Amino acid sequence: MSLSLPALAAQPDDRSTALSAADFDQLVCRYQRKVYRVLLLMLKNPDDADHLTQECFLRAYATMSTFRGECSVETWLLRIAMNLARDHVRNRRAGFWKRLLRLDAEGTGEPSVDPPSPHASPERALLAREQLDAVWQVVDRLSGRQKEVFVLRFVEEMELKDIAAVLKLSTGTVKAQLFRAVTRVREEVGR
Amino acid sequence: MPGKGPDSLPVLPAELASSLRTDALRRAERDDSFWMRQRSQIRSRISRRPLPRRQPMRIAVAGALVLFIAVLLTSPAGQHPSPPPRVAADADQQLLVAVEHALAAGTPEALEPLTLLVVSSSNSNDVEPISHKEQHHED
Repeated sequence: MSLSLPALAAQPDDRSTALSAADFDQLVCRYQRKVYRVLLLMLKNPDDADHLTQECFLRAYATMSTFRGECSVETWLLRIAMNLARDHVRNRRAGFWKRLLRLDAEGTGEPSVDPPSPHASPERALLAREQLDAVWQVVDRLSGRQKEVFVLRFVEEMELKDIAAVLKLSTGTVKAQLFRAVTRVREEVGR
Repeated sequence: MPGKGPDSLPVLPAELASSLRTDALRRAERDDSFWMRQRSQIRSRISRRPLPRRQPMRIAVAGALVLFIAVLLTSPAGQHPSPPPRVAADADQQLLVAVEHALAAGTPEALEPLTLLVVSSSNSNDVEPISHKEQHHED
């Protein structure tokens, strides 16, 4: 699934521009949904997620020559995305909380009560929806690091070692952060 | 309960974990036009940016700068040739030239009587020791 780019990164200057224009477009096409999704879950704002997704690929393009293929392109891109999200939250913390509340009130343009399964009864679907909302609210209150680990693990279904590579942490630290996050979610949601 | 052992992974109930993922995917779902617009904007922003610079060039420039600063900092100040006192030297030189000019030009006509006086005075000075000698002999 992941694409390796060492050959692209090692191209001489005169050829890399022409090559990367086509290859880079393919790379964007392949990973833009994942990058956008992670950023949306981290930031809870579609416009910010869109903007930072673009920024993520621009930064990737600008630093492509430094990519040595030590990790997968996916890991590399998610690392850039996470760094951007962290900077964004740090720089605009006050605005972030406002947007978070707005998103909770408005959703992401979709109905806030959305049955998870067409076969579920309305009551059960409503309960499931409420539970999901409660989980997301707890996730939003997690520390930045716990939230990153939680999203990468349960939304992107990444292995611990891959999460560790994205966040530049040890696997043990990732596991500890994940443990705390899951414990808190379970305690607060009551399951 | 989430796993607590060293080998167990912290887990959510399978149904909840599945619902979370499905919900997250649905929240981030956008139609094709959104992704096309995003790609087009990325392409456009890349084309407006200058080409990414090569790392070796940056390293070379940074190295040259560091070397230059190091040379500036390590060269002892005592070895710098101190600038000569130009003003004083120039003034001495001018005075010397003026004296030479004055000597070469000779005595102005108006001062010739004074020159004669000085010459006669110096002549009398030349004679005076002889007269003293004479006086001593007389004694």
